[in-house]
Formats: sequence, structure tokens, C-alpha cells
Amino acid sequence: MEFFFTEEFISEFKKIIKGKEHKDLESLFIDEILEKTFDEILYTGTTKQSGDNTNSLYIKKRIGKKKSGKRGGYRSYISVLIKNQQLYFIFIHPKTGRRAMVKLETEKEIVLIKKLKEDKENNNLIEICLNDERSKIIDKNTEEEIF
Amino acid sequence: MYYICNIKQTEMIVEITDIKSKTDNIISSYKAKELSNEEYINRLLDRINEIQKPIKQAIKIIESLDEILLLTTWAEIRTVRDKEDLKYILDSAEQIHKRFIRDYAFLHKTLRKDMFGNVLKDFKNTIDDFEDSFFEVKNVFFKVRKNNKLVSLINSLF
Repeated sequence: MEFFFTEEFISEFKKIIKGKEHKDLESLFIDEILEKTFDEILYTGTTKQSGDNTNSLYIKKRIGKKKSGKRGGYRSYISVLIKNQQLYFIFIHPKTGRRAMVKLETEKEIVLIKKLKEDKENNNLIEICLNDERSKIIDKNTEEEIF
Repeated sequence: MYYICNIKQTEMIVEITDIKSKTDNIISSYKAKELSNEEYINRLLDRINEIQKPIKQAIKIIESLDEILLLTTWAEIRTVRDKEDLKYILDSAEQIHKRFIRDYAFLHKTLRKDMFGNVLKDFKNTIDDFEDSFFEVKNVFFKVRKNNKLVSLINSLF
């Protein structure tokens, strides 16, 4: 699998983790996305928005671990476009807290997908992976930490 | 008169050794039935677990239903029958959600928060997740996929 972030995704992610209640979002993202198999990502807590597996698929995924008695922390929703096991992350929003959003409006989705198309054509996407300790998300080319 | 006096006398004569012995008996019987502090706490925890059990079972059921509901977005809806089935699933989900809310409201009002706060919170969050899924699924079928601009953009993306 290959993972790509748009600038908008990174920017929103950074704003979210500034809040105390969402400071563990990066480790949550690692556990529930980067450490999972393709099928686990695709079919757990996910809605298929549109498209198909052979061309391009647009999904929304819910992340947020269920820890008995400690839940109610938060849920976050991630918008991802997929093509041939390449995953393009375009937006993330938590359900609660300072950056809370009920859902991403369709008009905003159109803008974000257009921007993804542009970024892909101009090679402006950031391919990411995990560091050796598998604890931080890094830029695959520069090996710099993203967050 | 003598008889009365005799009775009176008998009633009044109380041997302290008898009282001592009776006191010992009563205290012993209490001690035999007495629970240690740990046993009291264990019994209380058993009762709490017993009350929590059906709530935890309900949480698991709602979580299963949530996953199933999300799966509908992966199904092909082609025929009239498919559409009817989808409508049935969404109507059922809406109805059962109302029941979940009613059950939660009753439990929230009835159970002590210092003993059942965590399980009630889990129950509420699970219901909230289910509600989110319900609206998200409706949004996918009745808004996103009906937006030609968005659909054609996705199809032409790569």
C-alpha cells in the first residue's frame, strides 16, 4: 500500500492535534490506518461514498478506539480516495472539540477532490510512511516528521 | 397475693451470668453472619456487574448493527427489489434508534452515575455512533450519489 497526504489534510490534522483532547490523533491514525491491511481499512467502520474498486473509490472512514469506560474521547472521520492500493487522504475532522464538524459538505468535497487532482498532476502530494520505531508519520522522501 | 408476689420475685431475679451467656450467643450469631469489608464490596460489584451485563450486551448488538448498516453502502442497488430492501433497512434502523434512545433515557434517569457512569457513557456513545452511521448512509444514497458533478469528478480522477 502507498499513502499520500494533501497539504489540506496535513494542515487540518495539525490544527486538530493542537487541541488537548486530540493530541493522540497521530497514534490513533497509525494504529487504525497505517498498521492495518487494505481490507481492514476498506471494510471496517467505512462507508463507500462513490466510485468502484477498478477505477477510483471514494470512502469515508471512522476512527477512534473503543476503550471501555474511557470512551467518549472522540471519533474522527477521514475522507480517502483510493486507486490500486494507493490511498489519498484529503480531509479529516473530529466529531467533538474545537475543530468538530458533523459532516463534510458536498461542495467542499468537490473542491478538495479537484485540488487532489491538481496536486497529483503537479506532483505536489506528500507520500508518507512510518519511521523505524513505527511511532511517527514521516515524509517518505525527506524522512522528516509530518506532525 | 403470695402467688403474685412469687411471680414478681421470679421475674425480678435475673442472673448476670445468664445475660452474659445470652450476650455471647447473640454476638456470636452476628459474627457468624458478618461479612468482611471485602465480601461486602465483592457482593456490591457482583450486583453492579449483573445490572451492567444487559447494557453491555445491548452495546455489542448496536455495534453489530452499525457495521451492517455501513455495509449497505458497498452493496449494488440495481433493481426495484434492491431499493425496497434498502428502504426496509433504513426504516428499521430509524425505528430501533428510537428504542435505543428511550432505553438510554430510562437507564440514565434510573441508575446511579457514580456506579454506572462509564457503562452509560459507552451506551450513549454507541448510540451516537449508530446515529452518525444512519445519517451518513442516508447522505451517501440520497445526496452524494445523486450529485452528478461529484460522481463524475471521482470517476475521472485517475
